[in-house]
Amino acid sequence: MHNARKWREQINGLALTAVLFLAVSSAMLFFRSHISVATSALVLVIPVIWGVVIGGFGVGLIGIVLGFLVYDFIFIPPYYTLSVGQKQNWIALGVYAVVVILVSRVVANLKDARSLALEREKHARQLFELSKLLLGDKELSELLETVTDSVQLAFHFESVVLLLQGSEKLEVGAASGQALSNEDLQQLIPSAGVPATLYRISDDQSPSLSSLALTVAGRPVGLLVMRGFQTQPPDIQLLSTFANHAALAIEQAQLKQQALQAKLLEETDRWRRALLGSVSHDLRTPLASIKTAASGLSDPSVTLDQSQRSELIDTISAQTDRLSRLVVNLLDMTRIEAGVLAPRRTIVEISELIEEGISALGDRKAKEQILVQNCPIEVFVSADHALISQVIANLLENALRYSPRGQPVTIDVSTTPAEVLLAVSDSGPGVPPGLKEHIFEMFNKDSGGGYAGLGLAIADAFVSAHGGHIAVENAPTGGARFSFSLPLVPLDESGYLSDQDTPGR
Amino acid sequence: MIKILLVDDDRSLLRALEIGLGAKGYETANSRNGNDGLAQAVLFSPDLILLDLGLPDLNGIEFCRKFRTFSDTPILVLSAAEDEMRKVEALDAGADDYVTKPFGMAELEARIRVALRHAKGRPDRNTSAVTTVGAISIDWEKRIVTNGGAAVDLTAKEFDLLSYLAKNSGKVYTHHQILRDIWGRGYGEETQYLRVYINRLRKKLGDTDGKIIKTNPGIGYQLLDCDDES
Repeated sequence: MHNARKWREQINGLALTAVLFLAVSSAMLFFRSHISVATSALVLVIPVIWGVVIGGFGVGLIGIVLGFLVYDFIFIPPYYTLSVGQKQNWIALGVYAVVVILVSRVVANLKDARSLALEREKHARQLFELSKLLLGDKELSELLETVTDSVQLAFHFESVVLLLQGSEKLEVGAASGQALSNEDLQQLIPSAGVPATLYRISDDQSPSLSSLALTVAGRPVGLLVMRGFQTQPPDIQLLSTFANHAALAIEQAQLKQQALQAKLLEETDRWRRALLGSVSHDLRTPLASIKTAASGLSDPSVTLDQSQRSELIDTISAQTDRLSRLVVNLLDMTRIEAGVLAPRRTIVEISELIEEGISALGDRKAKEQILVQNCPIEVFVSADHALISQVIANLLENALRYSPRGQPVTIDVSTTPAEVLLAVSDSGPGVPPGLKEHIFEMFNKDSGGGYAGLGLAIADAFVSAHGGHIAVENAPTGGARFSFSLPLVPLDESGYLSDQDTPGR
Repeated sequence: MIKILLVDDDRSLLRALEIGLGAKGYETANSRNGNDGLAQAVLFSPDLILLDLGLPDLNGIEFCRKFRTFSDTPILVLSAAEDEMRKVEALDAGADDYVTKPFGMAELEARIRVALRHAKGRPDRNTSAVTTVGAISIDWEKRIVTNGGAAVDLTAKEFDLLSYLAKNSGKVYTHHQILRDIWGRGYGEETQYLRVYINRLRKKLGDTDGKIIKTNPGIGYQLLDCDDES
């Protein structure tokens, strides 16, 4: 393309020179006798210079010869011969030749400088356009694609592949254009320890693979491999400058990705520690009471009356229940984590679920605080009764934990034609506003160092497995209220369970 | 009657402690959170506080810090074994000793007795020139230490270290506290200095099995009567 343009320019210049010679010569021919030999020489400078401007110095040389001949032949007497005649006309011819040569040279130099400047500007603009693509907050994979895409489009390669250092060998980071054949890939990415065969990029029109190393301050970042030039050899300088920019951008993106990964690991680690802390706290708390009560009972130096003795025994029994429920919760949690939690729905009476939930608590003393309101009989829901009774138990346990002794914890049941809504309200301080969103998170360690523990997270997971979720709000009278609903299984007119709503196991 | 304030958010542990300590002749009051605990500490004016580190409102370390601004009643921290860091922080913040959960009544009572005895015997620097801890007596003015009547020849640093521990005998001082107060701020982490000096002190005091200067592994040291049991 480059050479073709040059040829076209030269032909244009030559044609213009010829046309201009024809025009000015024929114009001057009419009053040849009125103008001096020197004046016509000046006019004949014009076609030559114009030709140089368009076609360069090569055209100029032809123009000079042409001008010399035209001048001598037409404007220097004797006319229409190449003989010069008078001596002074020799001088005129000589001066014309020298002037034209000198001016052509200068003009041609100017033209070359201008086209070089244009070339440079274009180069810079292209680089700018390409580098602009590398800017911005891109993910690594996106950036790699941008690099290969823009190299392929801007330099007209058949295919471009960007190889990055993998754990053992090079790996394809991104590819654009025609996909490389397996053979090519094998050549590019040999097994570890085997040198790859590649060709250096060069000016000759080699259609085979060529490569360019991407480096930042001497550190290898990747390898850009290109195949085939569709039209002309690429601008090597532009390509390598762009490659440098790309290397820098890729390294930056890689560093950012590493930083992100490190942060993620740290986060996971923190979460694990919180989990461990929470579990060990939840296990240790009942153990502490059991040990204290048991050692009090067995200490010969301690004299206890009958009621104190039975209270300590009750504590041991209740805390053992709490501990075993915690173990159940932990096992359930692993089931949830493993994603194998599928509720086995059956039709159960809501009052039965509540009763079972309360009895699962075990703590005989605290159970006196629980108040069941509006619990209807013969209202049936579709639920996994083991899971839902545990939800109720967990909600009650949480409510009891936050209620002052002697203040009631209420279970309230209301029904709509399609659903049964079950709510557990406590008389504690309520849920602080910031905590509402996180209260069901596993091992959420709430505000001041107390632990919400597993109970709420598991309750929420179980209700979610039934397709619902637990709502939490603060009651106007103070205290927190946790509620969830279950699908109601209606009775038909004769008081039997209607068949169509009987869900399968 | 000796009064003990129990600060813990776990109701059943509180109840078990109330019964156990009550049966051993202590008068108890309890609090289920830190702010109430601070208020009770003023109203009930206990002789000792049993403090759980994981309170719902303010953590045990803050409790210690706030409480120490107005009282030097001994604080016994109840903590889980994995709470090493928080235990050290609580001691730095002014707690006297710690008991690791789960604990038996006998162990707890022994710690309570040690804390109470040392709190009572604490020297008032303004009135008494001599402090006695078990068989050891320290003359502050003359900087003389005797053990069972016999003079013990101590270097200046050794004297500083011993008298520092004796100021609050029975209190567990953390490595960091001792290094900071005796060697200076820059030495906060140089526990090997401390080990060397403690060993020399023990040798000079004839404390071969560490009963006078007790090591709390990973935490610090405390000075005890030889007849303290723990």
